[in-house]
Amino acid sequence: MNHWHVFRVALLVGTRDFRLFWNWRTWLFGWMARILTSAASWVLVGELVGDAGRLNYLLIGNASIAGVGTFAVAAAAWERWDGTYSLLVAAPSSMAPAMMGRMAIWIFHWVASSLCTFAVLLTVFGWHLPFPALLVIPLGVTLLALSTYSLSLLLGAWIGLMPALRNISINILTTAILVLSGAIVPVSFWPRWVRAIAEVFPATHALAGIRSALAGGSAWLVGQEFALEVAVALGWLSLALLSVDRIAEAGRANGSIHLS
Amino acid sequence: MIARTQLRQSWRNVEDLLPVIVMPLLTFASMAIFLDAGRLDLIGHALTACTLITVGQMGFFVGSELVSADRRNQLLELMVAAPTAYGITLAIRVAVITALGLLGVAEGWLIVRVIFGVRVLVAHPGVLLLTLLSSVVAASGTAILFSALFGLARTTRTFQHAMNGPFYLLGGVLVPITFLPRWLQIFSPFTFFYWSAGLLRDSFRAGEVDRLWLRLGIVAAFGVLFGAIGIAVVSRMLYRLRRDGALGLT
Repeated sequence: MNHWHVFRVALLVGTRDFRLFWNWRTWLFGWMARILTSAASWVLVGELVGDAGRLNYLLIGNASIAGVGTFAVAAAAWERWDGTYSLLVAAPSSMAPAMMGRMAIWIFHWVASSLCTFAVLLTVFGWHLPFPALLVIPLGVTLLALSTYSLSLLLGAWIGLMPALRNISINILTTAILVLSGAIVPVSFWPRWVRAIAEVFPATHALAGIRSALAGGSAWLVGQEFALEVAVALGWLSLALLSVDRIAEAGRANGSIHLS
Repeated sequence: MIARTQLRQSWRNVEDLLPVIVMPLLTFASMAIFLDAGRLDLIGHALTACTLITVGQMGFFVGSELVSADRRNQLLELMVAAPTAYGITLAIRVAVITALGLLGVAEGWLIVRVIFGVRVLVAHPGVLLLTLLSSVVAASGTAILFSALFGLARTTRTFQHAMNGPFYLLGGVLVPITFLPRWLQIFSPFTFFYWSAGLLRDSFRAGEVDRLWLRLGIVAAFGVLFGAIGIAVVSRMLYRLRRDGALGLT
């Protein structure tokens, strides 16, 4: 069985995971109610501080990352609940395609959450965007979702060994994206060492690209930021691919797979 | 005894403590915005949000899952067979879990003081303390009701994901409701968060606190009323399940 086939089968498993949580009604009226109200709360902080520019800044930032980072890391732990984790570790091929496939379904969930949030918030706050900018948003959101997915893969590899920490790591990841990526304050607000982390953190460059496009920045600048986001995604993906089997193997070597 | 057992269980279970560990981290976001905008006068808003979201999440996410968890772990049948009424046991356990959410106040304060180096001035410490206690009562009562309604219907997860955001927005937990559209503001007084958030913000502000006892009473009344309805609902449903011999089958 080649890697691509394993990935596709695992993606089907991921689809089943998704359906266990959501159908179209609960996703639209349950999940989106949560995401929209959460994003709207942050946008209204812009009004609270009395600054219209900040309101727009918070709207773009929070809509871009709305829902991004949720669920995927936990999918690595679900292999444990299904009793399939040890089988995957014991299998002769790499664990990476199976993990990547099962987690990949949540990329669609992130992109859909973000684009729906954009659509609703732009309508509610009466903000009209020019047509080319509207095309840049889906591209930027997809890129930041892909780089978040790459980091989630790395976290998921560790979570396979420490499943109890799955939800904490998701919450820390989503909060870190909110705080570090420039969604709420410009990255320049933070001290130098935090800025250095933000540079290699998912969403920072894609968000900068989206902001630049919406502010009428040159295509070259936007392209540069998006290229950096792709580089960040590839960096985390490489680290994840190098780590997945090694981490799983470490669990097999010390016999902790069925004990943690 | 029930409280001590629940405390020991939750203390060892990282999932139970999840809101306490992660929710106060949102203080990083709110403080960053307020500092960047030069609005140090809004620190009380950041701490109010941190406190109420942590206490609320302990109720919504952990407390309201107790009935579902008891069913999942096949404990419900044993507890129903025990001489103490399940509703009373449930109420005590939910209250212990929700009270643990108060640790979020300390974590939020630490973030503001140590990470951002900003001193927090509490103008009315007594009001702060009383509001925290009444908010725990209100969050516990609400969680008991939701635990009863959703736990027995086995839809806890969906409800947990759906309910918290709208509640916090309508309750003006982070941003006072005066910034919401007028037609939405009508619903705000029907959530205890609205009353608690107002009192907490007032406790950080100098000046007299308006209608203190009335507002505190309303917060506590939410807890007592919802808690009593929750216990009645769970008792009634368990009675019917036992009478029909369907407990453990539904």
